[in-house]
Amino acid sequence: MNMKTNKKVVWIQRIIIWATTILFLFPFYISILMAVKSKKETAKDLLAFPTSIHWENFADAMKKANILESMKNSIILTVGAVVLTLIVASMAGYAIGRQYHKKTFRLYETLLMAAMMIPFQTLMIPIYKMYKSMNLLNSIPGAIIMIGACNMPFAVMLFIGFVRTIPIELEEAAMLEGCSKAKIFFKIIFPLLKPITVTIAVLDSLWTWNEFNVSLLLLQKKAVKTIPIQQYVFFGEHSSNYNMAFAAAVISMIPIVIFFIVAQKHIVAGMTAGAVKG
Amino acid sequence: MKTLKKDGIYYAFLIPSVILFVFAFLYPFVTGVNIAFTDWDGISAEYNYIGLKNFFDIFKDTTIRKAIANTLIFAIGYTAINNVLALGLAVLLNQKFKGQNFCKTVFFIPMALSAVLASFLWTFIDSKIYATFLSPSGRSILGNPSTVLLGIIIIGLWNAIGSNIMIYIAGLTNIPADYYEAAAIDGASGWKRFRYIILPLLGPSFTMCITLTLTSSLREFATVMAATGGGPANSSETVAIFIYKNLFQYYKAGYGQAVAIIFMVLLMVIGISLQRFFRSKEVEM
Repeated sequence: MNMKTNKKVVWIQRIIIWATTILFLFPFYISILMAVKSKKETAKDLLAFPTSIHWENFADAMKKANILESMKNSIILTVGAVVLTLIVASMAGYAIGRQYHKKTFRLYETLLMAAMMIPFQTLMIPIYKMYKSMNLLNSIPGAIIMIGACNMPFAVMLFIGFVRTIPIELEEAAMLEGCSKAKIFFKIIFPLLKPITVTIAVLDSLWTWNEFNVSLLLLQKKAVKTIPIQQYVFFGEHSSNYNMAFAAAVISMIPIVIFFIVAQKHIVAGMTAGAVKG
Repeated sequence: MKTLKKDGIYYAFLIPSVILFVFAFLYPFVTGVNIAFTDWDGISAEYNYIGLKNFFDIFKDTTIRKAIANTLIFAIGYTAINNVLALGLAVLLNQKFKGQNFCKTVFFIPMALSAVLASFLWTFIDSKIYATFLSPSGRSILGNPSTVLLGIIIIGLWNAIGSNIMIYIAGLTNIPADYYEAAAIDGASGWKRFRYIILPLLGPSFTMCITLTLTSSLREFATVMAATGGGPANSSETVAIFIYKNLFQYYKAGYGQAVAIIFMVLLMVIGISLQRFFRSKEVEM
């Protein structure tokens, strides 16, 4: 009796999980379906398969959605912001992790944690004002600094946690050999930080690639728009030609989904950091 | 002298980070407090100090009451549904079955997409597929003021539930197998195991998931902006959108900033007290 009900429960559980999985896949299915249909076919029957694959939607989208330019902007912004965050946060994380017993360093750690709790809306208006007066609006380097800085506190927290697990003996030995602290950091510590550096690089890349708030505020001119901002405008303008819009959506999905699948291990590691330790 | 030299390098290592902190957080925060006491319109170079007027105006403003209500409904609804579903899915995904990794990846992948893209996909599904084929009234979810927030919650869930699933799975795998074995020997049923072993021992995961989901959904901007822009007829306008509109549409940056500061204080109080509450409930393993 008990075995039988158990089997039933397992079956129900499997059905639930597969049904939800299919539901989660549905938007991807719709995207691909719409992207390969012609406008006529879509008007005739929304959900039917096309008679042939309409590649011209993709060519059309490449031209009208400004995909190449916004992809270039997104790549520059992401690489720039991630590199900035990694350099600055690893140095700070090392210093705080090694001086954890000192009040000044702990105070700075608390300040960074407080900074993470400030909603972007509270800083939005002053940042806009500051960037306007510094002539940094619509400048990708300007956005790199701001996004790199916004990602910095969380990265510092992860670096601090990691640095504290590295035994200090290594550094002491290197000191006896006569290495300077700076040399110790770049030659010995930084290579040891590789696992956490990769995790942070992957997470920050994902966040920066999809970043919306700062980019919407600072990158408003067509020539500097990143993919999310470009699409925000584009989807609004082309709500009548869904096939082309979906082709543009599919093109922009491909690189980031591949990146996500390849880096999934690191994303899980980063997202769950702290959850297990509490 | 020697100690200063020895520690000096650590201070030097902090400098780049402190510069970024001042540039992106401290300086904007201080100027923000300043702006909140002015009538700045967001464009002109000149503005006047008007004391606490902006803060008093918040209490007289009826549109912000609606925005606060929308924010609370969205955030509480989103947090509750997200955590119940994420925990349920995590428990199911934590069992061994064929296709387990495939299913996990499917729940995680939408996290790769921007809120703009997620909103585009779901507004299409809502207006063209749901409204045409499934809706009993023929109305879309996002086009109807009484259901629009639910619609945005659904988009957000699809887009971001993966991170909570990840955290709950990590918490579940972290529970020692002895606990399950002991429970099995005692003859505890599936539900009892869930209620008396899994739930209490997932403490740290709850703290993290609930606090993070609530504080991030209270400030959610991108999904709402991309899905509805606050419409139809301001029915999905949240505080985050309200502040944005004060800068770029209503030309009341000073007032928007006053709202933003109160908003921040409330978020911090909610975040810290939630964390305290859950931490006090955690069980040592």
